Amino acid sequence: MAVQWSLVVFTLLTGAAGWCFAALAFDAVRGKNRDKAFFATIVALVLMVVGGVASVTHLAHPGNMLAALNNPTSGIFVEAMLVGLSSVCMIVFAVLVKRGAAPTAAKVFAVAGGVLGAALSYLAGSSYLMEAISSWNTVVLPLGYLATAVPAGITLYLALVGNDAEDPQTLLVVMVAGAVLGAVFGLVYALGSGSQADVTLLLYGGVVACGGLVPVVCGLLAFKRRGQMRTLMAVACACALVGALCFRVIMWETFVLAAAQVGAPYITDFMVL
Amino acid sequence: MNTMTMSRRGFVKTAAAAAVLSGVAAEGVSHLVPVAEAHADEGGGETIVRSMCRACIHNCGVKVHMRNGRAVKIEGDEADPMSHGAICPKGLAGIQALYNPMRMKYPMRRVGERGTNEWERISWEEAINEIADALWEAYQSDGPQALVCSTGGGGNPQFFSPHRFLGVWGGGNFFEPGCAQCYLPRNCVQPKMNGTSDTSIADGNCSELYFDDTPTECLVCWGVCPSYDSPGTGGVMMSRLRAQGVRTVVIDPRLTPDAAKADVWLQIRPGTDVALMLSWMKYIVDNEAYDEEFCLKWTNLPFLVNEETMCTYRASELGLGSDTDGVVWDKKTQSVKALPYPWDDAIEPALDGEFEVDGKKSRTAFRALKDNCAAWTFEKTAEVCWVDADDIEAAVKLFIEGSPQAGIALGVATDQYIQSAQAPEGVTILDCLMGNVQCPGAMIQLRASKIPCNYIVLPFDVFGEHPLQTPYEEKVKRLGYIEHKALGHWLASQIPAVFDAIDTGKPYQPKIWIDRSGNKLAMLADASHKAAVGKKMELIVHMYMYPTSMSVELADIILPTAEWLETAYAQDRMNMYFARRPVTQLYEAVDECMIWSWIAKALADRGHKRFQQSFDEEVATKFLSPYWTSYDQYKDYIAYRVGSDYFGDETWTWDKLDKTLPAAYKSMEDYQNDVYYSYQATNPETGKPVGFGTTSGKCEPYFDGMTIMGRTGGVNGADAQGFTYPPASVDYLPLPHYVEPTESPLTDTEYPLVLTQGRIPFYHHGTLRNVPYLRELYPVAEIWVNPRNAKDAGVETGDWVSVESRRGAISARVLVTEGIAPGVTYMERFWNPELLDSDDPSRSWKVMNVNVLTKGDGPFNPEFGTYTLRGITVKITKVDGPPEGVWIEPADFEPWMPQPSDPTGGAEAVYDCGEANYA
Amino acid sequence: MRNTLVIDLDRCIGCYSCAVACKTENDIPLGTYWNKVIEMGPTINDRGKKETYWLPVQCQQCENAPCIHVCPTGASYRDEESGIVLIDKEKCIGCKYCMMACPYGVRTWSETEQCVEKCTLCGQRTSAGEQPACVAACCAEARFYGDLDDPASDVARAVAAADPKSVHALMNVGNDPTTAYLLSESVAAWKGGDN
Repeated sequence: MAVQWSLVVFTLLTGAAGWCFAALAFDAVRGKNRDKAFFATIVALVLMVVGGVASVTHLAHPGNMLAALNNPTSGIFVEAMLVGLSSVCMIVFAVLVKRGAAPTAAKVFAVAGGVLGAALSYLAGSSYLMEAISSWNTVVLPLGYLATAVPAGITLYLALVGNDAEDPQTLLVVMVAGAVLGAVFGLVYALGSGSQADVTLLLYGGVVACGGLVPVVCGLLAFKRRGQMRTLMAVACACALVGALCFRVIMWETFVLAAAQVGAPYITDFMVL
Repeated sequence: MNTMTMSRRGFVKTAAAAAVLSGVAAEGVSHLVPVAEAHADEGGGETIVRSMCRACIHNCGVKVHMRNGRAVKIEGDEADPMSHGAICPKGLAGIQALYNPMRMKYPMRRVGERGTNEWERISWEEAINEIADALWEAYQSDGPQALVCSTGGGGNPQFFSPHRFLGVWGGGNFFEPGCAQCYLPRNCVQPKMNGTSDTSIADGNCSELYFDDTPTECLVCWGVCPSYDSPGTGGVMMSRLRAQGVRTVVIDPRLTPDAAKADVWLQIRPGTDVALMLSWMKYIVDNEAYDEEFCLKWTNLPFLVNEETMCTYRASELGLGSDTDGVVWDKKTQSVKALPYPWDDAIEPALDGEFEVDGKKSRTAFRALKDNCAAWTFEKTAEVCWVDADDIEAAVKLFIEGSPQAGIALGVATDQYIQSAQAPEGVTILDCLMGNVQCPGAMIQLRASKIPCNYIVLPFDVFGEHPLQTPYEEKVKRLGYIEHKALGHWLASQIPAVFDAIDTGKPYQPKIWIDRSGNKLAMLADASHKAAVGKKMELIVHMYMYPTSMSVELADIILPTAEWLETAYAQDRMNMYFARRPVTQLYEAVDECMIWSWIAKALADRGHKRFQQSFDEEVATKFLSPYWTSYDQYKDYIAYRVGSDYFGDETWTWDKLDKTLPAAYKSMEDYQNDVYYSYQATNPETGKPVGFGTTSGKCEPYFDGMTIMGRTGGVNGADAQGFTYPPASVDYLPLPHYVEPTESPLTDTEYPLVLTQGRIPFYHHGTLRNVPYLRELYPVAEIWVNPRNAKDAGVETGDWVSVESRRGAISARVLVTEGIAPGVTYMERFWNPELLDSDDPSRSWKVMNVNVLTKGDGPFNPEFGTYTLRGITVKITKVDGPPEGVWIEPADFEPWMPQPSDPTGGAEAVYDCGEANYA
Repeated sequence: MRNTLVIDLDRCIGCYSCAVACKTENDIPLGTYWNKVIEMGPTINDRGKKETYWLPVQCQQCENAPCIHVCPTGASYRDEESGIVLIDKEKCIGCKYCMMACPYGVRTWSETEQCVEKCTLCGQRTSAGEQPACVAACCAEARFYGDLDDPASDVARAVAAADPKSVHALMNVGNDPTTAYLLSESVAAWKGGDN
């Protein structure tokens, strides 16, 4: 099936935004890096909104999004709600931070927004689980969406926080773990998809090397070279985004209809999305 | 409904436009400005016109939905007793063909060089006068031999228009790419042997197969796939047959739908059919599986053969009786006896044996037949035909078990190589041996239409002597006829001989060529040669619905003919008669019968005596009709023929026909049962059985009639007009022998693959390549390659290859498939109308046209002069991609989506040929 | 009420009439098919014989239609009266989830209508008592339309008359297609699914 770029951009940007804000929320609760909180929130918010808008461009007409909001059980509704609610949390948090008011409330909104944002990265992937498409119908897929978003979001946050980041160790550990899992899920998904599509470069060059290896190396270096935190995290972020993008593209490239697996390969001729 | 939506007068005014210079294939903006939107039915309601398709030769009943004077939808007509409401892709394509932007809209005269596709619009009056002037001049300087007429084009119901014209003209040559390569061999050979009918399903025979509960038990489809040549009629029939449990044997190099569903499928090597037939004969004879009584009483097999002349003895030759009686060996008296028709119970003829007659050895025809096939064991045949010996045996056993409720339907395949006469001889021998003649379930039945080949408009040369028949001294000059006398059955000349004459001026120089067909360059063998030679003609007139390579490459004047939805005709469908009704008439197009009439009229006006007579009903006869000065006259003639031939009413006019049809002219029960054992009916004049329509009154599986034809022009020593011609240089043999294809994969190391052809459900002949809904399904020429050969050539499905023969090379897209055997490839004909508007319009017939590869030179079939379209050798080489500029993707065909327009009244609205009064 | 198509592949001759009739009836753009014919073969069977069959595929009228489940707006719905799965063009927002959710890929995106389209079983015809265009045109009398729950319907009778071993459906991944394909082992082995 053709790569649906609107949806790739949507899940990529909202995933990065969600995990960026989740990292920020972790620091907010701990009381670290307070001076960078406002700016990082604005960046996460912009990414979240741009990602949301990208998903709307997938529709026949942007105005159609309103119709989608009428049906609370659909995947689109859930995704839109998460985008909306996490954005609201970010906005409220940003206002409270800017005014220096209600620190407890600010923490509550930060945690709420972070959890929603992180959840979105998983749920956006789980929308693709359907019986009809055997290659997609595995929990590895949403786990991959989640895991590849982790390094993209956290490195973004740490790059914004910069070289004087306070106590970044825990975040770096989570980021490295995410990068490793992202690469693992990418391998498990792509190699188990049953698709004949050639995704070698996307998988090994994109997901494993770019999305996994580079953030892990940068993360490990960052433990010791705090003075290069911004550069290391910026490099890691760019690579993590590329890795996450490649993972999403692989998903479209490895589209395999369930029916096609049992000897009706030509049925895929129909797919003209 | 009302199809006339604007006044003729009003239309004439606006159509008197200045000449417009444009490429004929240019985007279809009509230059005709309708004077008024005078719709008959402004309400937009839909009416249905019951008509008949003519996208191929089958004539399935259809219902055309009309809205505001425009055809909007075509469906099958459930009342049709053959199609039962089905309609195939070709029929469904009718509207996209009718309103196709490529339609030729008015007469055009070439202004650039041939092949440059530059034209100016001219009026019908100018066109007819220009053609008539040229013809009249040539007639006076060169005589009738200056003219060549041809037809074709797929689905053309006016097949005999050129013959009719040439007959009155007084000579000249007719050819058609089919003819000796399609149907003529079967249509000539089979009835002359079995005295009854041919067994071409596609041409309306084998009607036994269409009954609800057919008595047929076994059908052999030899080189024919009814499901593909006419899904609407043949496809429905085959599906019903199989559902009824009729067993089928299919002989086809290709895994077609009918092959896939057959009880036995023999994937024969192209060009080896006669070998397989001989093996069946041998099995039947060796196992004494034949119908001995039928062979003895109703065939010429017991007749003794004069081994010197190869003909069966006439009793008169031996002084034993009349010249109509055959001679047999009487077992009772152990002596030679004349056998009076139909037989003599006192005589016990020997079927098999060699005896002494008049001091010379003489075999019975049966023994000659037996000797003729003696070498063809299953093992040898399997080796020659590339099929399994056990499968051959299984196939012939099914045929034997089903007989006599069985028969062999012979398709076009065997017409397309040099054994074109021998294959129909072979299957007729097999059916005669088994007694599969005129009994319930047999394919050979006397149920054929009363009108030859179901064509109503006929030449003046087919029913004996006629004042407008071609004179002997011109007939004898027909190119290639003396060598290939069986062409005379359709009054045809041999294509290579015609082109040789054009090329060399020997034995004389043809100068004017009038063609009504699609794309001669896509249909004639060795197209490159034909294109080069064709250009030597002084004037070429091409009539068709839309421009083709023929128009652009060769024509000087092009004339727009009507699509089938614009024409009137009628046709039998089993026990019923259906009408084709013109639902609209567009632009300045017209049914070709009027174009021939108008040229005839213009020649009459110039003083051509025979054409003057051709407008006189007393000379022409009401039955064959004078030429027409209006389409209404023609329509009334069609009605008269249908009324008088089928409904016992000589007074029918088109109005009457229009009100009556579709209608049954007899009950289905009578239609089925009236014909069984017709030969046994008593002739009231003689008191004897009427017998079969042969010289002997019996089936003649020993076809010495063909030998006589080669020496004289007719099976009984003269042609239909009683003329006798000089003999051909070689004798035509009374029994079929196998001849290895001229280009044989057994010996050809340079071109290792055998190429065959065969129909697909999307197109008929060269037609419909400009219909978007069909082209998107089958956009380019496809070549089937067996996985083994694909591996050797390093190609996969979807790859492009160059396909090369000794004549040329083309491109095709590969389909790797087990549907074709190793060593064999398959392609269907193709040409690319999208290239007509390119910088090099010639590429339209060059890049994918299988007839660039086919073999147009000798050796030919002796009887028919057939050249080789199937069973040539080729090689394939991988190439990078498709030829430049060809349309492949569905969206490419968008420019050909229909542009519906309102009726104009056609050419008759702008041209009046005037009254014909030459008293 | 389970209105659907039953297709007898023993009869089907691969003539593509159904595909073209569907297009002319429903005015479907170039490159798009609501009903497509796929040749399943040729293959060589266990007995060493070559076999092939043609498989026309269109909306399978699933009982548990995933397209309906995933549709965010209710544009994909089951018509209460006929039981037919249809698309309400007004409600379709073009998210194309139904196209992904359909196991058979029979839904298409219409550029001109800006919505998802598919076989409607020719509601414009069946509501007037006619057969769907593909059934009417079929050159092998291989297609049947009607209500499987009505034993007198063409589809129910076609299935009842068939050897149960010859009744197939495209692979079922929980969507329960109602369209039945009839194919005898003697013609070709079924290659369209696991049942």
